[in-house]
Amino acid sequence: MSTAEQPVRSWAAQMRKGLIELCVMAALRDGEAYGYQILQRLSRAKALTISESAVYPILARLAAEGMVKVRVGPSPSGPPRRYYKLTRAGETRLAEMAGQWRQTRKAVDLFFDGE
Amino acid sequence: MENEHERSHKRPAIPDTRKSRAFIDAVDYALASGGMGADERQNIVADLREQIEEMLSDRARHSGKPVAIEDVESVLAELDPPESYTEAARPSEAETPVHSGSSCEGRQRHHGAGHSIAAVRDGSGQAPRRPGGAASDAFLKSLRSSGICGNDRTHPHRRCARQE
Repeated sequence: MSTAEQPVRSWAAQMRKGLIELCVMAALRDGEAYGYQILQRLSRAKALTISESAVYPILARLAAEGMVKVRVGPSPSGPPRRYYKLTRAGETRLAEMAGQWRQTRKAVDLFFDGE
Repeated sequence: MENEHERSHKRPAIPDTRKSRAFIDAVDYALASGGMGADERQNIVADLREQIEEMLSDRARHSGKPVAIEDVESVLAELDPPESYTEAARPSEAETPVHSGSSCEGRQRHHGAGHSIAAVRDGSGQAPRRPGGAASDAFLKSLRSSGICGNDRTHPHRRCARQE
């Protein structure tokens, strides 16, 4: 990696870091899911390269904040799974965050119109 | 007596190796190092354990063979290294002072801008892995006692690179 690329990569990593919580909550919009299933949903967003060490702490924090609720349910076999679901408060926060994201994206895009 | 449906979905026996236990213990330690409480750590470790079991089950289903220790090692190597959880466990930047200095030398902990979260890879999708995928407590302790950054994969400062 060249010296010139390093600040850009660091900036990109910080930018993605800020978006993970939004993406985790958005991944639960389609219904409850267990941890690994959420990771698989998030894997659609390849450019974000979201992995488990980012997602699971966020899920734990969202649960502690009451933004998601956890249900322990059976898996086809083996140990029970922990299913996460957005609470009403979580849905409200997601809507606010999504609004902020759309506004930000739109504002930044103004500088790149025509490219 | 189990029926056909139950047999077809039954997970293979997963060897309870010291490696997988050590890996999960190292994650728990890393989370505690980041200041996370016991309840949240327990949730994270449970999610991780489920993921490991599902990944092992997937491998066994595809190969048609029972899970072997080599499978455990491969799965652990695919996962984020335990030390990457330390940064993720720390309070958000809004709650902590931001360290924006030009060097991390002599600092015990990192916060904020300029330090990428290890879990958010640098865009290459190729996160460096420790051999075998597991970190020992001794490794984590040595990082902290040295005052050298051990969490960062994309840190711009060479002297802050992970020491092993």
